This record gives sequence, C-alpha cells and structure tokens, in this order.
Amino acid sequence: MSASNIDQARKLLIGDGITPLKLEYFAIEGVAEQVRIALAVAEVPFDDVRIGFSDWAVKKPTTKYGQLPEMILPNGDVITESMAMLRLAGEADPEGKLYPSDMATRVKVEGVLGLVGDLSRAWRPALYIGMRPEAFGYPTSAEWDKEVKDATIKKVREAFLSNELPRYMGCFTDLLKESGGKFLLGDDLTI
Amino acid sequence: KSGQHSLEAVADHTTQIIVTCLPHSTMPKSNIDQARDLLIGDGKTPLKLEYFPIEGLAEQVRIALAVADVPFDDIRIGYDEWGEKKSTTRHGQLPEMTLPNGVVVTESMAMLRLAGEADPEGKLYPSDLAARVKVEGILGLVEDMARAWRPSLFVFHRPELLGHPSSDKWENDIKVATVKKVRSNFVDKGLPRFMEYFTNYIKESGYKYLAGEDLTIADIAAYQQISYFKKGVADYVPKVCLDPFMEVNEWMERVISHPKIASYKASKAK
Repeated sequence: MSASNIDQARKLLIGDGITPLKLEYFAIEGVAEQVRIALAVAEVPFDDVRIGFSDWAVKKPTTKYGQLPEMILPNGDVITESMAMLRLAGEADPEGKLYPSDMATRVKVEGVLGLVGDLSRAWRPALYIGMRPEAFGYPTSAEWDKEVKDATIKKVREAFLSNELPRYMGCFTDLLKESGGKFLLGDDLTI
Repeated sequence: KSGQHSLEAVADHTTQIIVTCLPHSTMPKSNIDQARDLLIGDGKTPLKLEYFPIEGLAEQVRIALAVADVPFDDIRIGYDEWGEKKSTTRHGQLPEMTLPNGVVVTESMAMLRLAGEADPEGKLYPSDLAARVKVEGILGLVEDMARAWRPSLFVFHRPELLGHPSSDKWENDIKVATVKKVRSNFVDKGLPRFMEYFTNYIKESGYKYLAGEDLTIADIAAYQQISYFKKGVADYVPKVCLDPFMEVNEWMERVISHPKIASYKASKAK
C-alpha cells in the first residue's frame, strides 16, 4: 500500500528525528549526487559527508564493501549501493511521485533506470581508459607512451560521441515524446 | 458501513471494538496483486519474454517468473533473425517482455523486479523496505561485479570498443597476450574480492540465502553472474576458479536445488 511505503521509508531515513541520516561519499557529484537530489526532493534531511581523496586509504577498510557511497540510517544500519539509496529516497517522497507504487508506472521507471545504466556502461571504457588503462589491457599510465595514450583515448571517446551518444539520446528523446509531459515518465519528476 | 472510505476501529464505552470495512475495490491493491494482474491479466493472453537463445541477461528473469508461478512464452530470437527484429524493438535491445495488455517492458532488471513483486509468497522481492533495501544492495553488488568483468569480456569479443584493433585486424599474438593479462588480473584480484563480499552476505544470513532465510531476486541475479565463472567458457578463466570459495559454492548449490528452480532447469534441459 502506497501510504505504507512512504511511512516505512521515512521511518527508516528519519527515525525519531534525533539522529540525522548520514550520506558519505567523495567530494564530487559522482554516483552520490542523484541520491542527494532525491533526498532533497523527498524532504529528507541528511548530513552530506564528503570524504577527501587523501582520507580514503584510511576510510576504505572501514566500509562494508570497500566502496562509497555509504548511507548510515538513524538506527545505525549501513546501506550500500547508490541505486539502492536512490530507490529508498524515492519511496520516501511524501507525494508518492518520485518512485510511484503503482506497479505499471514503477516498471516504466525501472525501464528508464536500466537505460541510464546502459548509457553509463557504454561510456565507461572511454571514461576510465585515461585513469586506469591497465584495466583495458593497456600499459599503466606511467608506462604508456603519452602520444599513443592520447590518441587511443581520443579514438574511443570520438567513437562514443559518434555512435553511442546519439543512439541513447534518441532513446531519451523517444521517451520524452511518448511521455507527453515535462519529464521522462509524464508530468511528475521521478527518480 | 456503506459509504465510508476508511478502515476504522471504534471503541465504545464498554471497550467493544467495532470494525468497519470498506468495499474491497477501494483498497489499494497489494504489490503482489498488481504485479500478477500485469503479468497474467485474465490468463488468456500469455506473457511473452523475447531474448536470444542463450541464458545471458534473460535467464534471471525466466527463473524468477518460474519461482513466482507466472507462466510465460519463452521466445528465443535466433541471431540470424536479429537484424530484422532489432528495428521493431523499443531501444534496439533484447530482452523485451510483452504483457498480456500489450505493454512492452524493457530492461532485464525491471523485468526481474516485476517478476519478484509477483511472488505469491511475497518473499522474492519483499515489500518490507528494510528487507528490500538489502536486496537492492546485493543487486548493486552483482552489477559491480559484472562491471569489473566487462573489460575482460570485451577485450576478447569487441576489442574495438576498448580502443584496440578489431579482432580481424589485431595481431593474434598481441590479442592473446592482452586477453590473458586482463582476464588473469580479474581472476586473481577482482574475483576473490567479490567472493569475499558475497561470503559476508552468506555468513550474515546464517548460511541460507544472500539476503536472509528466503530466496530473493538477489540470489537469482547473483547466481547467474557468479555461476558463469564455473562454466569454463571464457579463455583464461579456469572452471576451478571458484573452488576456493566454499560458502559461495554451498550457497550456489542451495539456489540450484530450490524446488522451483530445479524444476525450471529440468524442464529446459531437453
């Protein structure tokens, strides 16, 4: 029942209102920004904790899965995975619109979230080839001839811009046309 | 009382409780009912799930539908048919799920969640949000693992996506050495790290399933992702690479022996 989802989510995220929700991430937007925005839209207060890159080595072993973001609920439970946090924040929307409990609408929201994931996946090699080339079978940055490295990054990113980006923008354009409204699913903003 | 639209318990002087009920149709439908309505409808038009003739991203959905007792047409699109089929799909991708009402659902993870919602026992994708957020955390971890493996997959199958020459142009000795290096690195470092995380979940659950006592869509998704590495289908990823991880192997055995999963797999092994 929709009221129950909202109540459950707000209870988890706000509790008795004495201990604030904590969201810990690096001092960038990255995968946490969508969560920060959703919490703001759902009117859930939180401590927006930023971990400096220089503090990460010490912090990392204290995290559950060696990753950020981590969200600490007022009851002490630790939530991992930004998409789990995004969904929970969406459930907490007092207007029930960010992550509608109507299943037909929700499955559309999930379809778009999947498409976003596909876009992110398509971009990823182009993003990381500069930062961690060895993950893609290249020499490390220190060892890789700079001109060859730059030419390779350029090639991969230009291929993304020519092939993948227009394809995905086509999908999002189709969704906007279909929605007949202001946002991807209609007139209401969703996660 | 007719005309009322809320459920109230009224205590009178003698502490007698009078409960008024509203007509069934005005109550919001449960997740389970909504999901089953979407996936089964009136039972006349079957649900359709279309994908290639492989497990890939669709198998987790097929398994979840089987566990949730949702019948479906398991349609396999041959690779030779894909050229023509592709332009008829919503986003040029499979799987696609066509509901009895004609609505097309895209994205395997959207389908997995919907199938989970339809579980008559309400366990595959619990509506209790504290339990659900844990399932979502595990689903995220499964995707992290898929992401860590992906360069190893692409360096062999689609090297040009990583900036290497395409397979027909890449000198074979160099390709082989690169594939070996990237995959060995995953097997030596990435795989054990993820197996440790999944082992932690198994231990936390008291050695049952990943999120607790009951099978969830997190187990189904994780099983498909992890069991892939035992198949020996990828060069330089030996079938035995998962052998050191005892708790994970025992959990995989529990998943595959779940009566509905075993029955589904048996029905396909023909």
